[in-house]
Amino acid sequence: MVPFLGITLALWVTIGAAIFTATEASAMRGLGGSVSSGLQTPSTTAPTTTPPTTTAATTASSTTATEEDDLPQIITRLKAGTKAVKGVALIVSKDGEEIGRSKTDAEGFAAVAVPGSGQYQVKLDPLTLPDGVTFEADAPKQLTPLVLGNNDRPVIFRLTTESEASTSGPGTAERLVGLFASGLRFGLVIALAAVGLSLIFGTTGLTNFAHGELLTFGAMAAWYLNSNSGGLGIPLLIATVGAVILGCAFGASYDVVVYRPLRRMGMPVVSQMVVSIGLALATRYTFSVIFGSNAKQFSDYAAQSPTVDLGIISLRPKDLVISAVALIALVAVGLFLQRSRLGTAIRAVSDNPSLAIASGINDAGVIRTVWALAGGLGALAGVMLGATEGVQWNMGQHVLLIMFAAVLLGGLGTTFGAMLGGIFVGVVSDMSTFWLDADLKIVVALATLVLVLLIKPSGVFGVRARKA
Amino acid sequence: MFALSLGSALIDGLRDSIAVVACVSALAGIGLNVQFGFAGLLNFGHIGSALVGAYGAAIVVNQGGPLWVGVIVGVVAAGVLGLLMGLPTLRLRADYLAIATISVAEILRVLANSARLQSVTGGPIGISNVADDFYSINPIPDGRYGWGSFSYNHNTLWAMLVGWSLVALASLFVWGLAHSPWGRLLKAVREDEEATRSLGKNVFAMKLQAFIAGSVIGGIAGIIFTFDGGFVKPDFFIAQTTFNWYLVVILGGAATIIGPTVGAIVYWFVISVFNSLLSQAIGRDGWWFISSTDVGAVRYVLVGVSIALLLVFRPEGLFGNKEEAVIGEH
Repeated sequence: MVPFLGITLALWVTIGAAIFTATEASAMRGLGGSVSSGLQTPSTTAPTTTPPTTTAATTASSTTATEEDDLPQIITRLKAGTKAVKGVALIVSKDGEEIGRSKTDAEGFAAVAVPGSGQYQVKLDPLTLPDGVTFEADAPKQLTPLVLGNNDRPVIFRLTTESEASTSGPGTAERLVGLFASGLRFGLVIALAAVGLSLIFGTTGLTNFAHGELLTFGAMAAWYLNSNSGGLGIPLLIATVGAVILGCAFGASYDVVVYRPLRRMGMPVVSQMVVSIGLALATRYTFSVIFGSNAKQFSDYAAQSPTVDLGIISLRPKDLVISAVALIALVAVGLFLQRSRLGTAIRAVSDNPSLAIASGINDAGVIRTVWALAGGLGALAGVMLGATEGVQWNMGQHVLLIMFAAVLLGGLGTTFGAMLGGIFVGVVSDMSTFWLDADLKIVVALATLVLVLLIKPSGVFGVRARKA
Repeated sequence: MFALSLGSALIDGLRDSIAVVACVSALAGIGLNVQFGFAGLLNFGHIGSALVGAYGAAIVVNQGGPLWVGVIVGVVAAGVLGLLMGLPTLRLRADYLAIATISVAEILRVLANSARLQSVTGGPIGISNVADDFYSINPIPDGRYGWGSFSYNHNTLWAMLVGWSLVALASLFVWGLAHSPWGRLLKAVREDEEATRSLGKNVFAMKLQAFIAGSVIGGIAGIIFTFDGGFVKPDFFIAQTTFNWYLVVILGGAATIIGPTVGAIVYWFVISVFNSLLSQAIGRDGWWFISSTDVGAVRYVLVGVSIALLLVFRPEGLFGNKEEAVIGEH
């Protein structure tokens, strides 16, 4: 048994890799990845369909840095509404001294090569902005991206056409409502992922530190299915379904390959938790090798689509879609747990494993189902997170502690507590940016988590654990 | 397929296994071992102690304070963090303690990175030129010492000397603790908290003392790290580093005196040999889908797999005692 476990455990890392390597031959050299490695000439990869974004990036770069392919570049793709903005000068400087400038092409692309790692100041020449195109009301006019190594650094300027700008002159109330809406969207996504985390704890007692990787896996799977530049070019909604199915398999593989053998070995759950950290590290950095270190966007929804006016607030359509899908999924999970036989079995195993087994419930099967469910929900959450914030190898790790906050707030092991906890944490942390810097958002979420642990470790909806 | 030079890889490994990075890991591991090995406390925020120690010293030196004040501030800050973090959290069960401590460490890192505190912490850029005073008290005359690949300038040698002396001192301190009545009581708390409490012992105070002691040693590791490099940056203090130290402790053997030190030496030897071989193998052009910038990432894959495999096959590490090495639920 033990040699088998060893081999499978070592192979486990490559399982995740294998799924991707099947599609990665062309996919590897995406927008950021191609130049970040700085090693391959584009011709050697020979993608079957030349992705439009890559073409644009390389033509832009060839005008600015033909001789120095190794240099990192600061790249941007300007859009106002859905239209690319052409002929705007992108100015890059360091310590007040201009390093280079480049005009955006018909696709809105511009790239400026920079000498190496460091903090740069990037702005647009306001004189070259076409009439009627302005910055969004709260958008910064100058950005200070940090370039690391040879990695290209994309920057985003939030532009809008004047007709849009005039409708969104945000007052205090509008801003608060807007933050509430975006917090709700983030909270719903966190709630989705947190339900899985909570179900796993309920049925197995494991605090899964590798849960963030389920999200990353889902987002990356969807990216490989969806992206026009490096993926299969499937529409995102269908790609999401594919990613969720793959996510279920990935979640179940956690159980089959790792945790079930560990449980049979009789390893204490706290040791299993430390193993989950090892797995998280191994998986996450395998993802980084495969996917590259830059954030990548889905091909659908990448554009800044026009907002939908809902009276008090105006939302981007993708935010509406995300919130709606997340809400439907949460309700579906709730109904599944409350109404279906399998859901009842899951709740029975959570509540009292011995009694559940004695009543004839197949606990191994229930746990497998829970892992698959958690994998699928995690994948869905990952896709949604990727649609708003880009797909990156460590995106799951970034929200891991926020998921813990959600789960602990509701009470570890309580499904509905985790849902409400997720929504609460999302709303509170997003709304805190009204008063605090945006980068302190995570501090608010984590402080909530610590406070809950200090005041009521069993959570708001939890019952006091029988065993301390 | 590749012209690999095992010799140069082994030399890289040996160099790193006695370098300052290794003694920083050893020190941090010794601190973690007091908490995790001897007291059974799953502190996932050990990097926070190093952060507080490093920033404490760097801020004082940066504001023009003398070196010794900086060191004292760093050590005291790490101790106070241990107290503040331990006081409310040590009553929690293992997984809650882990989540609470990793959260505190992350909060500290984000705050150090925040633009709001830039005037004090330097924000994302950090604080540089903090080691001048440390090297100005270097008694070793200028020059190069050693042979061939193991030749060091006077400053590097000074940092190594100080670092390894501190490792020896800390090991001696832990040896003293472990063989005192206090140390035996601490192990009793780890093995069976209820039984120890029923004997009238103050279990909570024992845990808190162990937690603070570990945090102080972690703070010293942060200070040495700062003086060696000459600057601090929030990026150094990511949560992963705590888990590197867990590997160091588990590899050497939890609840042993020499374990973390040997673990750190072996860890850095293996990592460097591996890095060196991998870099040679993939060269500048990359190999399969691994590019030259991915070497650092592959190293973390190795760390993660090692943690998982060690816990499955040899939880007692190199020198540990199998009975003592079970985490949780004795």
